[in-house]
Amino acid sequence: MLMELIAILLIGALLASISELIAPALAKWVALLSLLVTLVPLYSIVVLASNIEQGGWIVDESTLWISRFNISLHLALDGLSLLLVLLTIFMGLIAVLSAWREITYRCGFFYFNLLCSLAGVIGVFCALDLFLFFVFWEVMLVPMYLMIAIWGYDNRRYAAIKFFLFTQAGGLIMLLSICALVLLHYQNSGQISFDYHDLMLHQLSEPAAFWVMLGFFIAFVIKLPIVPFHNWLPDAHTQAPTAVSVILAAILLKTGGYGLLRFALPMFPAASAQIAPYVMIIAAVSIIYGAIMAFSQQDLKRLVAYSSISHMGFVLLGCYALTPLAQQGAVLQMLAHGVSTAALFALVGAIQYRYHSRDLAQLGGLWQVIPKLSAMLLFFVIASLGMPGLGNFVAEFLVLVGSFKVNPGATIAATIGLILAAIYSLRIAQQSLFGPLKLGSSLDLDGREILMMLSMALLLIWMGLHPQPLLDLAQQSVNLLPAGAK
Amino acid sequence: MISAEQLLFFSLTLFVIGVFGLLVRRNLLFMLISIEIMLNAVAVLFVAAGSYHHNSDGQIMYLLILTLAASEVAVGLGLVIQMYRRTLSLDVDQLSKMHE
Amino acid sequence: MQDQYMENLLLTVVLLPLFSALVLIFAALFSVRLTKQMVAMLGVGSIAVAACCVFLIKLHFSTVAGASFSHSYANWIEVGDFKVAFGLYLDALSLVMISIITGVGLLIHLYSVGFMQKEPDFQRFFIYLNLFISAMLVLVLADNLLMLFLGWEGVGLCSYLLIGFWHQKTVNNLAANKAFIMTRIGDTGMAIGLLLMFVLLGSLDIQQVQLKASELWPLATESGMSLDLVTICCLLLLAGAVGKSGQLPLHSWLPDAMAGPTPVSALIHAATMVTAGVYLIARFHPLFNLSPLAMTLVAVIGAITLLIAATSALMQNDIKRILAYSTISQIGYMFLALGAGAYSAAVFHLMTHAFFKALLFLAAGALIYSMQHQHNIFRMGGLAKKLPFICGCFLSGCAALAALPLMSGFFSKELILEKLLEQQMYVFWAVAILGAFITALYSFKLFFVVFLGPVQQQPDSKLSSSMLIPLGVLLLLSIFGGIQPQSLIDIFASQHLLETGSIETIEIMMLFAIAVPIIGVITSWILFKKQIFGSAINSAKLRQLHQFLYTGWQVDWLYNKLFTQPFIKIARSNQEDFIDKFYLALMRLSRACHGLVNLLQNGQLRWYSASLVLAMLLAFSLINF
Repeated sequence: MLMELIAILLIGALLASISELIAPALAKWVALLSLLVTLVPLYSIVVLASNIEQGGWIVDESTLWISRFNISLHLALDGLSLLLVLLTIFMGLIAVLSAWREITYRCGFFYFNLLCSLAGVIGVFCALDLFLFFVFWEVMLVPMYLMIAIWGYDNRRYAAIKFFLFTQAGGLIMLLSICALVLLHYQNSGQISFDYHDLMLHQLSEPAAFWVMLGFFIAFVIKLPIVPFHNWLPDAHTQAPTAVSVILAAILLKTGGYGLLRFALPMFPAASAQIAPYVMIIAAVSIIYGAIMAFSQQDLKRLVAYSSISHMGFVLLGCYALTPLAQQGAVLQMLAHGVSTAALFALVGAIQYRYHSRDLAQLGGLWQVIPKLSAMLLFFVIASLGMPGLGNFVAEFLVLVGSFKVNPGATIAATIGLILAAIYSLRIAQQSLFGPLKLGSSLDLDGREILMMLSMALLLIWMGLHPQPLLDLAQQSVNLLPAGAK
Repeated sequence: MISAEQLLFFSLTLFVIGVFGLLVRRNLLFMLISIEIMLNAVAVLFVAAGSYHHNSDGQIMYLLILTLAASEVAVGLGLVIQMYRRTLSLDVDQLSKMHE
Repeated sequence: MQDQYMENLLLTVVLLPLFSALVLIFAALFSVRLTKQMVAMLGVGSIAVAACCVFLIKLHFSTVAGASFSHSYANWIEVGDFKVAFGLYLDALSLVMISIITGVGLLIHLYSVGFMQKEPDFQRFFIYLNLFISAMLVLVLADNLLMLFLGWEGVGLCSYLLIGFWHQKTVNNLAANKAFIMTRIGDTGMAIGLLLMFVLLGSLDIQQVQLKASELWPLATESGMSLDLVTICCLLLLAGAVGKSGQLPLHSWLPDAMAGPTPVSALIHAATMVTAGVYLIARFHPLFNLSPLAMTLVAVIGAITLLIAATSALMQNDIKRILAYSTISQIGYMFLALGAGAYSAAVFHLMTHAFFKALLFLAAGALIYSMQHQHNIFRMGGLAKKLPFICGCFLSGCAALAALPLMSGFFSKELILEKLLEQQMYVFWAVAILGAFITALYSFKLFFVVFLGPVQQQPDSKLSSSMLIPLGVLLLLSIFGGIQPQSLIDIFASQHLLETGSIETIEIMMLFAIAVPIIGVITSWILFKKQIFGSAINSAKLRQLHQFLYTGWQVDWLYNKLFTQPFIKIARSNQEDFIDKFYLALMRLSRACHGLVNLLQNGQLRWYSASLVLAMLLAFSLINF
C-alpha cells in the first residue's frame, strides 16, 4: 500500500510534467487529482490503523532491491509515520492550492518537483531500510532545491545553494554514520544489512555508538533546524515561493524530528541519554534565540521562519526529555506547528501576491481593506503564540510537563519562550493588520483561500480540543522507544 | 639476449626524452611528437615486460597502444592543422585561450 | 435526574455565548449579511439565556454549606498518568462568579447595543464580547488547572482584541499589546506553577491538588516564613493573579487598556476579567493557607498597590483613567483581604465592586457618549442639571466606591477592614484606611468637577433606552447590593480566625473607619470649593510630584528603561544573526582557497604538463622512500 502511495505521487509527477505540453493550466489539476487519489490507499491504511489494538506496525511491506548488499525496499508504517504521512498529504494539498495562482512559469515542471518532493518525504517517513531512507532523503531535497532556485524571489540562487549545502552536509554526515553502522554490524555478525530492525538489535559499544549517534543527530538537527545550524532556513523561506515555504515549514522540517524519534533515539538509547541534558539546553537556547531573532526581523517571511526555529526547539526538547509525555508532545508539536506555520506562510504569500511586499514597515492597516485575510492571519498568529484551545498549546504544554521533571532549568527557560512568542506574534498583527492603512485596497480571500485557511484553522482547533486520537496514534510509537520506557 | 634492466633503462630514457621534449618545446607539433615518443617508451616497456614474464599480454597491449597512438596522431594532427590555419602559429604559450 | 439537569444547564451556560460567537464568525467569513438588530439579538440573547440558566442553577443548587457539583463532560488529554478532562465544577464561589459574569455581562451587552450603534464593526464587537463571556465562564467553572488556564488565556486574548478594537489607531494597538504581553508574563509564571504542581502532586484537578497539597505539606506555620515548595507553588499562581488583576508589579497595562470601548472597560477591565486573580487565589485558598509567606506577600502586594493606584488616580484628568486606577486600587483591597485570609470578604468586595464599578464605567461611557468623546474631566462641569440621571448614577457609584455608609461598597470594605483588625494586621489596616481616605477624595473630586461648578461644554446626544436600563439596574445594585451571600461565608468558614483583640478597641477603630470616607468627601468638597482641583501648580517640587503621580509613579518609564529598551536593543543589534557570520566566513574562506587554486589553472599547456611531471616525480619519490 505504501509503494502504491509513493507510486501514485511519482506517476502524478510525470503526468503533471507531460500535461504541460497539452495545456499549462492542466498541470495543477493533475497534481491536485493525484494528491486526492492518494487518499484511497491512505483511507484503507487508516481503517487498518483503527483496527489494530496494540502498537506496532500497521503496514509492513518489503521486497529485495539490491541483493548483493542486502538492501530491500522495506516500507513500514506505524502511528507516528501515519500521522506524518497524513500531514504530508494534507499539506501537499494546501501547497498545491496556494501555488494555484502564483506559479505561472513552467507549471508542469513545478508540479513535477512538488510531487516528487512529497513522494520523497513519504518515503522518508516510511522507509525502514537505512539505505532506502537515505535515497528518499535525497529525493526530497533535490526537487526542493530546484523549486527554490527556479521559482524563488530575487536572491533565490543564494538561498537555494545555502539550503542545499546545509542539508547535503547533514546528509553526508548521516551517510557516513549509516555506513559506519552497517560496517560495525557486519564486523559483529558477518552479515551485511541495512535493515532497521537488524541494526537496532545490535547495540554498538560505547565510543562507536556515541559517534555514530552524533552523526545521525547532527543530520536531523540541521533539518529541524536548531541553533546554530539554522541559518539556511530564514534564507530558504524568504526566497522560496509560497507553496515551497508551506511544504518546507509543514513537512520538511518534520523529517528531522521524525528521524530523531525513529532512528537517533531508539538505536542509541545509552548514547542519547548521555547527551540528553546538553541537548535540552541547546533546545532551550534555540527556543529563546529563535524568538528574539523573530522579533527583530522586518521581513514577514523571515520573521515566521525564525519563529519556526523557536517552535522546533520544543520538538527537540520533547524528544530528549526521554519521557513518553514529552515525546508525544513533540509529535503533536510537529503536527500543530506544521499546520499553523504553513498557514502563516500561505497567508504571507497571499499578502505578497496582493501587495508585492512583505516588509512590515510597508504593510499596515490591512484589516481595513481585507478583513477576512486579516482575521485568518490573526487566528494563526494567536495559534502560534500558544493559545490554549489550539493545537500548539497542547503540544507545548505536554512537552513542558514531560520535561519539567527531567530538567527544570531548561524547561523554565523554554517557558520564557512563550512570553517571547507573544511578543513577536503580536508584532506581526500590530504592524501588518492594525494601525493606519498604508497601502491600497485589494481583493479579500476568495473561495479557494477560505477553504484552505478554514480547513487548517479547524484542524488546529481540533488538535487543541480533542487531541486524543492523535496522541493515541503517537503513543504506539513512542512507547516502543527503549529510551522512553526508562 | 638483452637483459630486462637494459630494456627498462632504454624505455625510461626514451620516456624522459619525451617528457623533456614536452616540457621544453613550445611548438605544438614537437609536443605531439614528444607524446608519441613517450607512448612508444611505454609500448617498449610492455613488450619487454611481456617477454620477461613469458606472457603475450605485453604484445597485445602494444597493439592496443599502436592503434591508440595512430588515432591520437590522426586527431592531434588534424587539430594542429586547424589551429595553424586559424592562428598562423603553433606556439602553445600564445595559443593559451583556455584560461579565459 | 437532578444531576443531569445541572450538567446540561452548566454546559448551556458555557456554550451558548461561544455558540453565538461562532455563528457570528461564520456569518462574517462567508459574507452573510446580518443586520445590526440580528447581531444584537444573537449577542445579547445568548447572554440573556445564559443568565436565565444561571438563575435556574441558583435555584437548584443545594443550599447546604460547602455543597459543590462537578461533572466531567469529555476527555481532553490523556497521556500515561497525565489526565485532563473537560470538567466543570460549581460551588458557592463559582456560583457568585458566574452570577456576576452573566448578570453584569448581560447588562453591559444590552448597554453596548446602544453605545456601539453607530459603529460599523458592530458584529466584530459582539463576537469578541461573547467569546469573552464564554472564556470567563470557563475560567471560573473549570475543575482542573489546564482548563482554568484555557479560560485564563482566552479572556486575555479577548481583552487584547477588545482593547485594540478601534485598530486604526496605533496607540490602541500598542495598549492592547502591552496588556497582552504584561499579563502573559504573569501567565507564564502561572504555567510554570502548573508544571510544578503536576510534577509534585501528580494531578491538575483543582480539588485533587488542594487535597494532596494539604496531605503532602502539613501546615507550615511551625517552619515559619520559609521558601518551601508550597510557597513556590503559591507564588507562581500569584504571578498569574498579579498579571491578570493588574497588581504590582504588573499593573501598568490596566490604565492603558482604557483605549478600548467603554463597555469593554466596564465588563473586562473592571467587573470580571481583572478580578480573575482574586478568584484564583480564593479558589486556591487551601493551598495559600499552607504558606504564611505567600499570604503575607499577597497582603503586601495588595497594600502597596492600593496606595500607589489611589494616589495615581488622584492626579488623573482622563475620566476613564481615574476609574482604571481606582479599579487597580480596589483590587488591591481584595488582595489585602485575601492576604489576611478573609476570602469571603474579598469575594464580597469583588461582587460589590463589579456592581459599582460597572455602573461608574457605563455612566462614564454615557457621559463621554453625550459629550462628543470628551474624556478630560476639567473640560466638563455643571452637568448635574443637564444630565440628572447620569449624575445620579455617578453619585451612587462614587459613594459606593468611597464606601460611604449604607452603600454596597461600604459593607464589603468595612468587612475587609474588620477582618484586618481581627487578624491584628494593624499596619495593613492603617494603609487601608489611608487608601479609603484617598479613594473618597478622588472619587468625589471626579464627581464635583464633572457635575458641579461652571458649565463648560453642552451635552448633545440622547441616550437610548438600551443604555438607560442597564444603568438603572446597576444603580439599584450598587446601592442595595451590599448583602453578602451566606454561602460564601460558609465555603470559607473552615478558615479559623485568630484570637481577636479586645472588642472595645475594635469598635472604636471601626467607627473611625466609617468616619474616614466621610472626612475624605468633606475634604474633597473643601478643596473643590477653594478651586484647588485643576488649578496650575506653582511650586516646582509639587509640579514634579504631580507629574510623578500623574504618570503612575513613573512605572512605564522604569519598565521601558529596564526591560523594553534593552530587549529591543539586543534584538536589533543581532538583526543579521551573528551565527550567519560564521557561515559567511566559511564561504569567504572557501572562496579565497578557490582563488588560490585558480591561480594554478592559468591555461598554459606547458605549465600543466610540467606540474603533471612534477607531481608524478613527487609521487614516485614518496612511494620509494
